[in-house]
Amino acid sequence: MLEVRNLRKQYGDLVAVNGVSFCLQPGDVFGFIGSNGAGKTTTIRMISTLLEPTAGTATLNGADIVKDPLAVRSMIGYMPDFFGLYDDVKVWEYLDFFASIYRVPRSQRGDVIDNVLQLTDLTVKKDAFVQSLSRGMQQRLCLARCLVHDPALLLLDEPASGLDPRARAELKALIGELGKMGKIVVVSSHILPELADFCNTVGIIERGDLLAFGPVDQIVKGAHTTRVLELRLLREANASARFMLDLPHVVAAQATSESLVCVDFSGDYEQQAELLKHLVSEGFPVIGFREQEADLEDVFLRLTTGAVQ
Amino acid sequence: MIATREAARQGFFDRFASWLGETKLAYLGNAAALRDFRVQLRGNRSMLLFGLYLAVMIGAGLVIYAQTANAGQISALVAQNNLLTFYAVVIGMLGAVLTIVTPALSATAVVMERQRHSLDLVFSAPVTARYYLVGKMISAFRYTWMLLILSLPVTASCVVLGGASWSDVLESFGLLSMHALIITAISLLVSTMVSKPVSAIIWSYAATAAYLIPATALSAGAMNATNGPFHMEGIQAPFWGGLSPYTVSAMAGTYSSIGGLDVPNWILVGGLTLLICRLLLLGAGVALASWDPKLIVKLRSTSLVYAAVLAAWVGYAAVPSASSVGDLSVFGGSLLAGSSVALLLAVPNVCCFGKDAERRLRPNGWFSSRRMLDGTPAGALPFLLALVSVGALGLFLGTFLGSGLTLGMPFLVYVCYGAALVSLFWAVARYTSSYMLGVRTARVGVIVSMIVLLVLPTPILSALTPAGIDSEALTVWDLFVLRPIGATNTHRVGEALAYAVLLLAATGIFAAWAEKNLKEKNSGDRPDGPIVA
Repeated sequence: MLEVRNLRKQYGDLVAVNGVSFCLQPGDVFGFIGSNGAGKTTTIRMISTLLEPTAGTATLNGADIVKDPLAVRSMIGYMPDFFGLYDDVKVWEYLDFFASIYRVPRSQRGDVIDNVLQLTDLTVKKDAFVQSLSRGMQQRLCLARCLVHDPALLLLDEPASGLDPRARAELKALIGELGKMGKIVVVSSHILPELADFCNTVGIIERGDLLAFGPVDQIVKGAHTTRVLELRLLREANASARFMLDLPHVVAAQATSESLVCVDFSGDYEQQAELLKHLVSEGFPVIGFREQEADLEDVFLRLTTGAVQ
Repeated sequence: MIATREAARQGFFDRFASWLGETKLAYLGNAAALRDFRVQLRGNRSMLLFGLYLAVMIGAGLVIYAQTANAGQISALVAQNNLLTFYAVVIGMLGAVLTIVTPALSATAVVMERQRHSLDLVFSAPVTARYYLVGKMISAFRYTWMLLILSLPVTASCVVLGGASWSDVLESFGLLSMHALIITAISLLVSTMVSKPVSAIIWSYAATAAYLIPATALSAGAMNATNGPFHMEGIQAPFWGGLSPYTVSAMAGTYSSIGGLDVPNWILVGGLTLLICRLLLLGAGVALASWDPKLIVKLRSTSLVYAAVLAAWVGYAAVPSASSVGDLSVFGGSLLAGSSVALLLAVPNVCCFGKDAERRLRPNGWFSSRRMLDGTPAGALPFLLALVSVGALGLFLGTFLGSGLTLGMPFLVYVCYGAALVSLFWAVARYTSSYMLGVRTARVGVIVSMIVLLVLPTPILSALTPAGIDSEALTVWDLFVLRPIGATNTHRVGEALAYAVLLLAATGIFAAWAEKNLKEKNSGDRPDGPIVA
């Protein structure tokens, strides 16, 4: 279990991370969302023990990042937003080096390297030089490096940046698979739709403050106190909008074209049905009635201001 | 009570076992060393380099031999002498090659990793700075030994021709590898402190020169104190004659008589070298451990212990009867003041602060003994003074144990002089840090000030007066306050005290300017904030 408690990082007057707290269980795939400079990487670097917190701490399976950093390091796999590959080193040598510094016994290293190469689909490149790999393959090699010691927590900082759509899809599938294997995966990304695909928990951070944290559905629902309904009419869109403003639970209604009305509605499904009944009984020619589905991007835009530090 | 004692004993054994395990991991099968070694020997680059090196060595050996032998035209005695000289030149040449090659091998070791961002990957694994630096050290050192072994055809020819014995060669190789170890440690320290590989190479060569020039001067002095440069085997000589890689063959067979025991100088030089390397690596460890203040405290406290041991070693091994050191009580002080110059090399790194370093620091006061070990600006002067103090203590104890002498008042005066000298450059570092925004610019400012104030005046003053720095007569040297290595006689003790007072006054002026600058910088909305990493 990863428990982050009031983690804070301050550079002089600048508060990079302001008391972030959250808790993740094995199997959680946590999407860490925020603009550039929001504090994602700083938080991840503090959890990976590469940066000392100004205040607060985090524990991974009981080991404290401040008091026992070496124990924490042996349980994490950290993949920064750069590759950090060595020149003139073969794929298996690269993995062997990291297996060695993660203290994987010499007798097991061969099997471990074969397994992670298989998992990341790089077996055929075992004897290739790392600089000869494509960007997507290098990214997978970095992930393989994170896995050589079978970590409990994976910290992936912008893992999909710079990848083509196919490589991105493969990476998504791989991360989802790791979550199913019982690992805690923390993924930071700007690309929100892709996070929603494989993350079961998300956190939104802005200017060092964690604005929202929880399961994706809950975050989306929690961020929207009203629903947006989209009505399509044969005609009289303006008249219907004016009519709806007097109805219960309608917060706002606006005709966006001759035949389309958007309604900000605070009621539930029953009350939506009532609204439709009223419109039809008043003779408005309704040909479409649907609720616009809110997504993570809406939530992000709604919660954040775009301000950076 | 017994249970507590038993638990403490158990705790000690556990810690010792853990330390032993870590040490074994660091020195045997170090992954960083293995990876570097694979890369070093990959491709035909290294083979080409080795081939070129061999060709140069053999070619130079043949030329020197041709010049020294002149078979048939000289007597057997002269020929024998020439062969000894031939051997000395070959070993000196090896020293020169190692001086050139070693910084190039290790200067980029850390900075390249930092530049390609792989350092973060390494330190996100359960790797200590010690493990990593030892790995880098081993990989560079192994290369050095490969160069030494490759030179065997040339050195073996000296043995075959009669210029040296195999034990001479082995001893010389041992001493040469010790020098390579020091140069590697210097380069690694530089590599942890700079941000670009080119800067690392330039500064490594500069730092190597800063070590070699005084070391070679000391060696030359030691040989003058005995009987010449090349044929010293089996005689008593000051151990510091072996501090230069260019005088290795001459010093290989010499000894120092300590407490009635003839200790080979290569043992004394070897021990000293290992202590210097340890201190340099501790400095490198502090630079690498920028994210971990607790580790910095641990490394700095360890470095105080090693500084004391190093000074004690020097005091123990400095045998007055073997040289022209004269009054040891004065010489010890002078030596300590001289060591302060070496300490000055640490000043830019220990004292400067700014915003562009790995560890971004803001001024948190000018002197705080509580901060002595945590690497923050307020602890810089206390740490430097602590180094001088433990050095003095170590030297005092070492001299007492080695020669049975008690260093007295003159020694104390020179301790004050050393402390004042270090304090002055601390104040200069603080001034440059207060004046400039970046820590790296501030460091360069301090180094430039050292060159202007310490290095450049020496040749100018030497040109102005025929009298040496140690002359008892009144010379132009007496105007020069910053002359820590001079004055190995009682005549200079009073002056050293006066100079110390002058240096302290200058320190006060620079420190006051620095504080004024810092106040102006922090006025308004920028009060002194907390120290942050």
